[in-house]
Amino acid sequence: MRNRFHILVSVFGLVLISASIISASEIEDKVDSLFIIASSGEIRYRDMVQPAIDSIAAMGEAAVPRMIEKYDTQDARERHTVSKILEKIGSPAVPYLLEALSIDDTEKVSRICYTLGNIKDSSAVEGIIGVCDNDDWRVRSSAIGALGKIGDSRANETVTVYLADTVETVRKSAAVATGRLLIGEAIPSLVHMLGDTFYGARMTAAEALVKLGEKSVTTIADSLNSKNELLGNLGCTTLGRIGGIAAAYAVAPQLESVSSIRRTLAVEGILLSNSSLACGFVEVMAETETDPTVRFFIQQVLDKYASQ
Amino acid sequence: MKTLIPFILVLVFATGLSAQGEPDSVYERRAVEHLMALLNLKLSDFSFREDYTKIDSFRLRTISDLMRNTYGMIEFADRLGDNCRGGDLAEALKFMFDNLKKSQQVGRGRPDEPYAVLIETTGMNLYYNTLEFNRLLSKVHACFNELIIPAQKETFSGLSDRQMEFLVNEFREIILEDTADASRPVDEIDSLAKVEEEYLKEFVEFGTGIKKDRLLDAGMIAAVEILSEIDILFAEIESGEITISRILSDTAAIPRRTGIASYLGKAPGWKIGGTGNDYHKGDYYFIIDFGGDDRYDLSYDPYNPHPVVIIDLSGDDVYNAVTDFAIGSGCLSVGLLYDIEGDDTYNGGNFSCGSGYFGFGMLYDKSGYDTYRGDTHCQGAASFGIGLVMDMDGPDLYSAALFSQGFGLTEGFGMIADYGGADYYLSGNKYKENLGLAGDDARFLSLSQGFGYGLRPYLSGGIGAIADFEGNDIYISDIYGQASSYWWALGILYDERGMDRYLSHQYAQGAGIHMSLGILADQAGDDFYRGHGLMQGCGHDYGCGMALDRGGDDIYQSRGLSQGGGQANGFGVLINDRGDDAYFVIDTHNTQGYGNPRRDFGSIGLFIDMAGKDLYAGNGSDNSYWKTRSKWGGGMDWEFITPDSAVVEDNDSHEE
Repeated sequence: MRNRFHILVSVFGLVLISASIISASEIEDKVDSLFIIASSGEIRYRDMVQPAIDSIAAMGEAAVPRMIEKYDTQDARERHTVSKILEKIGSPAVPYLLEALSIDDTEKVSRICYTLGNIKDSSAVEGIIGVCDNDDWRVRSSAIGALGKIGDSRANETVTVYLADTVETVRKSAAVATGRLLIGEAIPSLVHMLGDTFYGARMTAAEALVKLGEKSVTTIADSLNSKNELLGNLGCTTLGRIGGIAAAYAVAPQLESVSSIRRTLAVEGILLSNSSLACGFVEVMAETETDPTVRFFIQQVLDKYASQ
Repeated sequence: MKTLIPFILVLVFATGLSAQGEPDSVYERRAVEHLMALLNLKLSDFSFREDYTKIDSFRLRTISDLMRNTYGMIEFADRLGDNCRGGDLAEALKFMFDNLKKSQQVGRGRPDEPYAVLIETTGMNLYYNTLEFNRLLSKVHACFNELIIPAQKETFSGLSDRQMEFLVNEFREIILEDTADASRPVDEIDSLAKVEEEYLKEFVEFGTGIKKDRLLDAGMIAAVEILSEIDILFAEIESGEITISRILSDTAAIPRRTGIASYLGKAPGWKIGGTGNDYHKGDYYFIIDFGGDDRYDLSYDPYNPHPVVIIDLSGDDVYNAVTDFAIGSGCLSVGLLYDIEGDDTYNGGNFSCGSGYFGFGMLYDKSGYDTYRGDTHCQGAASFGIGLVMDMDGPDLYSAALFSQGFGLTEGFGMIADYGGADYYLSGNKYKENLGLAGDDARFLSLSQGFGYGLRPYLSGGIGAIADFEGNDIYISDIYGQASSYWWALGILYDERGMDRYLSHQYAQGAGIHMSLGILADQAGDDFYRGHGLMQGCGHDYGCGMALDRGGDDIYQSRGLSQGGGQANGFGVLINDRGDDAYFVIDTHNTQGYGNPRRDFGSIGLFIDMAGKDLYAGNGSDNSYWKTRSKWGGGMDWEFITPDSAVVEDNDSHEE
């Protein structure tokens, strides 16, 4: 009797196992089949792409393992499609993606970080922080970028550290993340980055400072006479974009710079600041300025504030 | 009645020199630095990393260097012009060869130490008695046996028979398109794409074992040496010192028991044509034809690779490619065609008319109104090699479908150098673009006319160039063409003179697409640029495209993302040095100095006009600076070059 019971249990178990095997295989087949359409670039299939993406996403968690395998693709369109589908699946995909962060393939880890950032699930923060020290700059850049997108303050310290990364693209990602996380403590580092050798880092640092707003003004103003000309130049523009009287007045001394480019950017800063009071400085300088480029921008300021 | 006629105001633009005696490039650089400073950018920002993706072993040093300093493309285009301007074959070839050095390559034979040295053949029996003719024949014979065939063996010595077959079959399949693709179901297309991807992976495993420099070096020496002998022979015929009839009739009496094949010029696959209208059909090693309107039906067996030299001294000839790899085509070897006189027609197919496919192919046409027709990989096209068309004079028509007219695939430098006449370049109209890159309208792929191409992401691309020195030329392409490129490649179109028309739909006229580089450098003339988008100085996805026009009253028209447009971290630059120009765009939100963001940061788009009274429909205006609402871009129309004082008034007059 006991033997018969064991046999029955075993058979039932086998059925269950084989059923699950068939089921997994069916899911993979279905995902594969839909994925061909979902990732097709052919103009003839354009109308079918989104429904195919939606169909895979509707399969939810069940489709995730197969989709993660597809990160191996070397085709850019397929890669974007994988990410798009996983983002649409959202939080149910996160545990699988976090688990996949431990693999050695840094290209794949970098892509997974990108997807996690777009899913924006804060449960991924610790896992992403764990790969931020990867030797591959692409992983670091992608991970820091993801932390910024998720927007959880637990990442503040990590993100700030990477403002000084040796690779410019990582610094850029850190600057962007700093702006998203609004990390006030990072203002001095961001101001320093206005003179970065990489334009992507420079400009995104400026944008982060603009987001941080008035609290950045003093630090920027203090750095305008830096030996790094880029820092002072972009500082003028950044102050102008932050706007307001304080920013405009911080820019004003630069109108006397020996550099015509600096004077131009200072004039433009005042133009951007929307401070009609600071217009007076420009009006005064108009009387003596001879450089045609500076004069062109002076005229813009005077035109803008003429009525005021 | 005597009338004093005010005579001639000659506008002399000493090429590249402004009134101040400094090269235009100095002013261009100054202007770019000025605008960039106003945008909080600097010239060194024009730089891309090499390792956005895995670096493959086929990347060219020139492209790596220019990606690190994309502004260097202007200087590179100038050097291309300088090296090709005089029509010196050796100089042009050396420039091509020098720029085929790989990033990771340490030593090379050229330029100081050629791999091969030509040793004159001895021991052949002479059939013809004329010294000059025998010199030519013996030179060709020596080139074959002392240079090319040994080089051929060494180049592919590391490859198995199967791998050699792969080059002829699978790799060829990767390049060739099929018009039937337009109607295949999606799973079939996906399957075919996967198969081709597997081919590429297989090739990557053994492709670095191909030592192509050895073969290219042999090809270069042969091309120059044979041309030199042709010139001597032709000059002597022209001067009357020797006559063709004497050359052909003054022959040796052959001993009865001696095989004719042992006589110079009489070996199998060698043919000597006369002055009449001859018909040459087959797979030849060597043909020389002295005159007449000849017809050539040429074939080539790639499973039996061998050198080919065809020389036609005069007549309006028709060359037909019966198979792939015919008409000045080097497939796993060296193929040279020299046509000295006449209005010729070259009906090429795939891999024809100056095609180097794992080899060296050259078509040298010295004069006449010529017509070049072809399908894929033709008219100055190269993959792992050099493909060159040198057309020294006359207005010509170039018509091809795909990967043609100055096309460089991986480790290849393909070029058309055209020296005279108003030429017409047409590419496309056969293979449909099925991805809808340019919207829903059916368009055709061109990927031609100074186009560099890589096989993403496995093989970085090569260099494709057109250098046209005279005439009012017309360039027409559709999707991808006219100084553009894709994937770690470089496309150049250098046009020195004439009122040219550039018409294309998308990815053209100075466009670098996906980690790639393109520059259109027009030196003079009232030119017309027209297209839809992603052109006229446009870089996409870590790509840089530059449109440079140094003189003339030019007209630019496009719809969007052009005239200094950077997209997805790309750089797009338009620079116009002189002239009263007109710029028209329809989409003002992404043109004339525009950059858009990707990967959380921006691109760079610059628009610069340095002189003249210019007209704008778009963001710009005459004598002004502007910034666009973008990340990051702007433009300026500012007098950086003062009105040129090189206007020479000729006071001579004459009486009627």
